[in-house]
Amino acid sequence: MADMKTGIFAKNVQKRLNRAQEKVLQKLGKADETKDEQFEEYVQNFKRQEAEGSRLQRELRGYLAAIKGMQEASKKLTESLHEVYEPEWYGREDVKMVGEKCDVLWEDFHQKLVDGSLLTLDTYLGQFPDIKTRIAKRSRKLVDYDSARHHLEALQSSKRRDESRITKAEEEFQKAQKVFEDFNIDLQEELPSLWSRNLTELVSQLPLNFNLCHKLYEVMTKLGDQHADKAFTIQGAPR
Amino acid sequence: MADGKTGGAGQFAKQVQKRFSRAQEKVLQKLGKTVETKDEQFEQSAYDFQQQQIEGHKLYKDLKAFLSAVKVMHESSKKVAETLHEIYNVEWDGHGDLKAIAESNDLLWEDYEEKLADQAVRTMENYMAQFGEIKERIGKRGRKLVDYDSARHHLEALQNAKKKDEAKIAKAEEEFYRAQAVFEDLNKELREELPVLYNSRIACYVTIFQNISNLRDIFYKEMSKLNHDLYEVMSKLEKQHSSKVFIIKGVPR
Repeated sequence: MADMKTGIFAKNVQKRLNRAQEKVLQKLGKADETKDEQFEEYVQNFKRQEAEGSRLQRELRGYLAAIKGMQEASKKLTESLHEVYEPEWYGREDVKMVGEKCDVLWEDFHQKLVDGSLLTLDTYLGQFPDIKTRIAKRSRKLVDYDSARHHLEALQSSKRRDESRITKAEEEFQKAQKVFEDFNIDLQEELPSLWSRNLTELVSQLPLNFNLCHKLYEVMTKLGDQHADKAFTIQGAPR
Repeated sequence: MADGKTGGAGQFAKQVQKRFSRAQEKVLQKLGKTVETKDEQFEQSAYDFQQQQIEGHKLYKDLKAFLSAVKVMHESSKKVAETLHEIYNVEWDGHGDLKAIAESNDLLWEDYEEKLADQAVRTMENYMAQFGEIKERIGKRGRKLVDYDSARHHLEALQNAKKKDEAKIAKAEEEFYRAQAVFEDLNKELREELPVLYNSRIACYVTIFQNISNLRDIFYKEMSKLNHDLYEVMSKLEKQHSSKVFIIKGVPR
């Protein structure tokens, strides 16, 4: 058991050393990198997509908080109005009812937005960490692949060819290549198609049914009629 | 004549005094009664006034908070619209429309905010501005009432004194009548104005809340239209890119 552990540990250390070495060689220009410009573009798009999605999420959360604020302020206002409303004034109960219905509307709107848009957006963004990890892993496998390639090339072009070592290096090269390719192909398919239709869903939640505002207007008008003689004049003239 | 006068003057003075005393008595009684009656009514009016001011102040605070909340919604709505516009690729269907929508959105909110500030908050402000001056006058009336009572008691004291000093009494009377006139003026004014002010609150509330409802009505009608436009744009976009699926890869690697 201890041997196995040490074995795996040693293997990982070796892996990391190889990669570091390969990178150094590449940086020094002594070894070429496998470059995939197309893939680089995908990665750039991916990064931008994540940034945009995060930003939209942040703004949406802010909007939702603002809705809550609006709901609160609306509620306080209609409550205050109800408090100053004399029992004999027209529409006392109506005012209360309108206030309550308004509150329900706001609550409903907020909830729909959370369920419809925020949740969808959260889920959408939830994919990114995994893909990010896989991009990084592909990157490491790419380094492994290049390293194996260079090792093989070195052995093949050396004066004294050691066939057994070459065979082993070929094996490792092909394994590294396969691993890399698997990651590469998957990502190459996924990244371009990472587009959500949730923007449509997001937007469909925005319209808000506010027929209730008209009702309040009616109530207030009737109350005004009821007390039409009680003038509201600003006593602005100094005495 | 001089004799008659002297004799008459004595009689005359006595009668004047009597009449004066009676009148004074009546006046004092009346004053006693009147002051009391007025006080009760006035106390009620003053109390109503205080309540009205408290009520008004609360509504004013709530209106300001409401406007504040609208401003916050405006800001965040603007940010969402801008973000949407920015992440929208130029080659996507409806890119130009989105900019127009974002701008219209901002204008609608701007308009709503401005009108609310003007038709609701400022109206309330103006209504509340009346109270300060009237409060001062109520205070002044209170002080003049004290002066008046004081002058009255002073006069009474002089009149009930064993040794009546007519000159002093005459002066005290003058001051008494003056204090009375000053008090009565203030009192009358306020007695008329306070009930009118109290009733005017109804029209104030009606005006403000009618305005708010009306503005909200208009705002939401227009906003509805805008939302519909936005929905249309999104639908077009979806059609344009219907092949690009949104899949969640749940399988771990």
